Amino acid sequence: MTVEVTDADLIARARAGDDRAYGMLVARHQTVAFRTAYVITGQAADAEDAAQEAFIKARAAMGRFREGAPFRPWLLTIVANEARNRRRAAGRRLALAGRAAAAETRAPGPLPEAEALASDDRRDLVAAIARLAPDHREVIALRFLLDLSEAECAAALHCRPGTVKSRLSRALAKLRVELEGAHA
Amino acid sequence: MPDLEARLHALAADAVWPPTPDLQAAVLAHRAPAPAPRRMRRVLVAALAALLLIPAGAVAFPSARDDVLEWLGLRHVTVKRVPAPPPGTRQELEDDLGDVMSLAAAEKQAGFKALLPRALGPPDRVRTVAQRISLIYAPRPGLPKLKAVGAGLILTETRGGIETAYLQKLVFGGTDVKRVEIGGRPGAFISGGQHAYLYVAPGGDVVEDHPLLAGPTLIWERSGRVLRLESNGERRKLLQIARSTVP
Repeated sequence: MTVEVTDADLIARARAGDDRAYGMLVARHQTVAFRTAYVITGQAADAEDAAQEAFIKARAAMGRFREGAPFRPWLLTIVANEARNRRRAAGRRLALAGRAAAAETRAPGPLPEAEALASDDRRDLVAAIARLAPDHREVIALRFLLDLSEAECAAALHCRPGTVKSRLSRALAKLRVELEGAHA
Repeated sequence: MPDLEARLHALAADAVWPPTPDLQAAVLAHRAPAPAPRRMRRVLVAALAALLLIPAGAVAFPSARDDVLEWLGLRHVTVKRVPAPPPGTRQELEDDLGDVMSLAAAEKQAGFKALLPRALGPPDRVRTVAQRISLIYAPRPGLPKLKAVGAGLILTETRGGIETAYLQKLVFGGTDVKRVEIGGRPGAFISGGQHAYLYVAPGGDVVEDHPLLAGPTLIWERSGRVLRLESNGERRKLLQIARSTVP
């Protein structure tokens, strides 16, 4: 018989000082944390740092975590904050290095390599997403490519679920225009 | 055109993400800073007070600590330009790197696995003090002997703290600091003049009260560790060695 260990079980054990339990929470959520950070930073190394530091901060703040609340949105809020800090720092570094223009055009991931996609249809779609404004690209990547719920997107984007809905709606409309433009 | 949302869901199946790193070890290795023992706190305060005496006009990098960190992109290392070595600075000796022991014993004492440079293979000897492991390689072609240390290359590894500066580099006049990239991560190459270092452990419980002079040094961070590679070898060769230092 398999007994499923829930996040709530692991959180309770981690709060009691069980390192192994927190390690299991990290293993369970590290992929979504890393990918969310990657959507925001567009750099794997920055995303790794952001996700790692977010888990460390989440562990230190475990005492403030509201019992019974879902862990993932709470974690993603911390991950997204760390990722944004790194994106800002990277922008400043580039500017200091006299490459402000490069910072402007730095396109966050995670878009699949267009060359690797078999169909023209998907290549067009990837290219159209890449042309969107960063906040539209982010909401589409989080909602569709990462399959986050609206609540999780709201946590990562630091806004209300209603704002996710409206931003997503505008992003999809823009994406349709981009696709139609490409076929015109 | 099929429904756009359906096309996006289908696209998700094709998305090529960078491999997810295993974060467990690095996260669990981090410990919240513990209060420093009283005596060591005094040493820490004295060391920091000495740094505060450095004239502000002599600082070549932005003076705010965060700006310095961000410029270099290193989270656990600070680099400050100062006009002259602080009082008590002396040449680093091999004994300063700790006791000689096996790699396994060093890892047990330090509480983490050392990363070995594949370009060099196993070290000739290992020294450890507190949570710091130094891999020492004998001089060889391309890695001439370091001043005052009978080694051609020293790779020192420490666990990176998060909240506390871990390694403070003091660079003096004429020293060159270059930002480099190692495996996609930022690092700093310090050469061409004198520079010294002192360590501050994550809990503030280990402090070198006399900064030690070091040779040309490459510093970077990887897998939750701060790595310091010291050698008189050519920068290109040192970067190649650094890039081969992987888990």
